[in-house]
Amino acid sequence: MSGLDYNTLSYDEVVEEMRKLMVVAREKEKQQENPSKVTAEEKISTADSKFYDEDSTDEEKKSEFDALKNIHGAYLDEEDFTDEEKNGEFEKYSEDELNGSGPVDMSAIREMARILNGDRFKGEKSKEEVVKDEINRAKSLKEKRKELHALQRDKAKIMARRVWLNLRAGLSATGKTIGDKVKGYARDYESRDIEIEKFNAAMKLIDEKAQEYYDSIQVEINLLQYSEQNQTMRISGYVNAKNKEIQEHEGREKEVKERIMDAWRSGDGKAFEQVYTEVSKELKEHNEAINSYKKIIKKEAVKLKQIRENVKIREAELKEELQKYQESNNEILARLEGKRDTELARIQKQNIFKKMIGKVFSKIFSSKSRKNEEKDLQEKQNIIQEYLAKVEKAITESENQIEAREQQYDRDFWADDEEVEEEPTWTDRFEESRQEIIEKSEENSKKRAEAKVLREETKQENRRIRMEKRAERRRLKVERQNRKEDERIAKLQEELDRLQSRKSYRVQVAEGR
Amino acid sequence: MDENSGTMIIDGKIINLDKLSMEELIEIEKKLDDKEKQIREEIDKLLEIKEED
Repeated sequence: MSGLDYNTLSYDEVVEEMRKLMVVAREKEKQQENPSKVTAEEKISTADSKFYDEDSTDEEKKSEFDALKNIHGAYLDEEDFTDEEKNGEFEKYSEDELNGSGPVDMSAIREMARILNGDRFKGEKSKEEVVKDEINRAKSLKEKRKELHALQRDKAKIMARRVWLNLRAGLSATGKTIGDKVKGYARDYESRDIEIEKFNAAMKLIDEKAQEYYDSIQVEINLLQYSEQNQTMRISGYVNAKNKEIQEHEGREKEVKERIMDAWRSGDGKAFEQVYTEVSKELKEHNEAINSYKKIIKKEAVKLKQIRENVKIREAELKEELQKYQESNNEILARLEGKRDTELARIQKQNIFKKMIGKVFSKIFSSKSRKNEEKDLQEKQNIIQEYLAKVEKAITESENQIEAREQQYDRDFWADDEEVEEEPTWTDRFEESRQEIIEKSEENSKKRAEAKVLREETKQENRRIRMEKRAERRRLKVERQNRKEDERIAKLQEELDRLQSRKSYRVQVAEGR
Repeated sequence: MDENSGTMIIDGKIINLDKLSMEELIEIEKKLDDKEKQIREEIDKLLEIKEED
């Protein structure tokens, strides 16, 4: 510095000097930022350089010194300088000091300037006013903070509402998906139920038709057999009758021959001739009748043989037809059974799904730890997602099983027809399964109703706890704020006292001087 | 399973949060953000004055 002793300066002089120094420092900072501008410091430097130019005359030196004095300000009195200094002999100062850019402790200057340059020392405001301003500022700060807290609370509420809406939307979407799936499965189940009923009816009808057909063929065969038997009986009766007649004729022939022989032995030529004529005529008639009978018998025998052959052919045809019909029937039955088995497997899969859904809902609604609604909802969503994944997995597995079973069934069907016919009674299994589903459905409905009641109770309880907690938090916050404000006011009061004591001390010092 | 958020006063109007849509909530939140920024600036200004002193 310029060799000034701050201790010897008056209060106002120190203030003034500090202000000047501040101006210099600021100008220097500006100069660093924008070197093209000519600053006060530059002016001082120029004046200084002129001042101790060795070629300058004393007059010039004096005038430069005056100029320098004007630039530096009123605090530079002639008596502050030695004769050597007045003559431009500044050798004992360093170049930096002479240039004004020497070891100036800017932070110290700033600190001092801060103290000295404060509004409260300008004489514009009293200390009371300053303190009052402080209190007002503290009050407005308090108001602003209060406003900020209220605003943050509102924001938190809105955010919470948004989160809630998002979660609810997510949950309801998941719920809807599950509901849709359940409804879909229920519809499927009903339609498959109906389909199975249809299969049953179709199978029953096929059985009945087959029996009917079989019976009709059997009747036809029976009729043919009966007809054959009847024909045989009729023909054999006829043959027997004719044979009897032939025997009778043969008896009579013998009798006639004996009569001829008797007539011959008697020697009566006329009687013999008469007998012989009668007998010959009679014999001729008999022979004709016998020949005719034999022809008829032969014809009947041929007819009977034909009938027997026809019956055999027809019987074979009917048997073949029946066998074909039975084969076709078996095939249809097997297909229907295959479909029925597939449907049963699907029903089992639906049972698994229903069971899982039941578990999901029971897990959701029996959850008692509701410390945080959002967390709870998130957990539920996770559970649902997890179970949906499990359900999907179970469905895939079930479908694979069904496919495997169908393939196995096909292999079995083509391998051995009899094995297909010996399948277990599916109707019983189906009935059992359906009964089980109905029971489980009822059980689930019951559980759902219980869960609903429990959920409602939990919700009420949680709401009450939340309200209590909110009230408690609000009370604690108000207490805390009040306490802080008290502390703040106490501090300000303390500051006020301190400033007052400093003021009185300064007044005393000034008076003492 | 619904949650009631109740009411609040925004710009001198009573608003029922339960009746607002997601878009309306976002809009209000934006407004509050701006207001918060403004208040924070004012607080900073007040604190800055104090630091300068």
